[in-house]
Amino acid sequence: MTLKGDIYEKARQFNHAFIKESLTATFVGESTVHVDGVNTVTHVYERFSPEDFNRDTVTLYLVQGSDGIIHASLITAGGALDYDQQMQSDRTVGEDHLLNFAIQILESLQPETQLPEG
Amino acid sequence: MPKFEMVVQGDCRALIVELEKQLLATGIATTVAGASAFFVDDVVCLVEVFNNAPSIERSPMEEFGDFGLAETLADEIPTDSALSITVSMSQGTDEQIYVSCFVAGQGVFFTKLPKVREYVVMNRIKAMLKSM
Repeated sequence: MTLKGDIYEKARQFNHAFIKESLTATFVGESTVHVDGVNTVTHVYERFSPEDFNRDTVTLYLVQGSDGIIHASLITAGGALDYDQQMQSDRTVGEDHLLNFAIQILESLQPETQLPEG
Repeated sequence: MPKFEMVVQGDCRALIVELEKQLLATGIATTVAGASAFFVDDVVCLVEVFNNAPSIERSPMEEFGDFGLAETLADEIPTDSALSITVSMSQGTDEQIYVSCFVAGQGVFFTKLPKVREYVVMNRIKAMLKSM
């Protein structure tokens, strides 16, 4: 999805909401890169998932160029349900919950639509 | 924090393809969780996330000796939980590739132990990138 505004402020708001609204989330780290006027912010979070007893991670990737538009990506990754088995190829339950959780937070950062005057 | 940043030379898209190939071939990564790429103002920005299976083999002590961990931990490297590896790259007109890498996810059953495996995997990826 795309956002508008300051990329660093959006990242900070996401971080605040993500940690505040989840009891089991941890902020793994942040990386910021500025190349030729293009800013990128990468955040990685992990969250314990009681649904499938895994620790899943979500990566937030934001890119903003000269037009001010912030391009946002969310990618989740996770572990196997049964640790005696090999990695499952299917997504885990925890991953899906984590992705929905992160999407809701990202959507909440969208500025409210301005109603036309008159 | 299991993270590193580095600058390398070359072509960004070729590098991520080669990294993916080597990560999967060596078993450091088992599946690709997802990827995104953007081309903004002549800058290539991409991110790729990999899964690392819980069944990774135990690692020799020398791989994480740099972190000053007690040798008694050698037999206690957690192998039961999966890791995720996040690699992001940016490349502009100066041809330099700015790479960031995070390794996270360990610790479902071994939360009180140092995240040894994360550092082992991180060091392997760092060495792999340097060799490219």
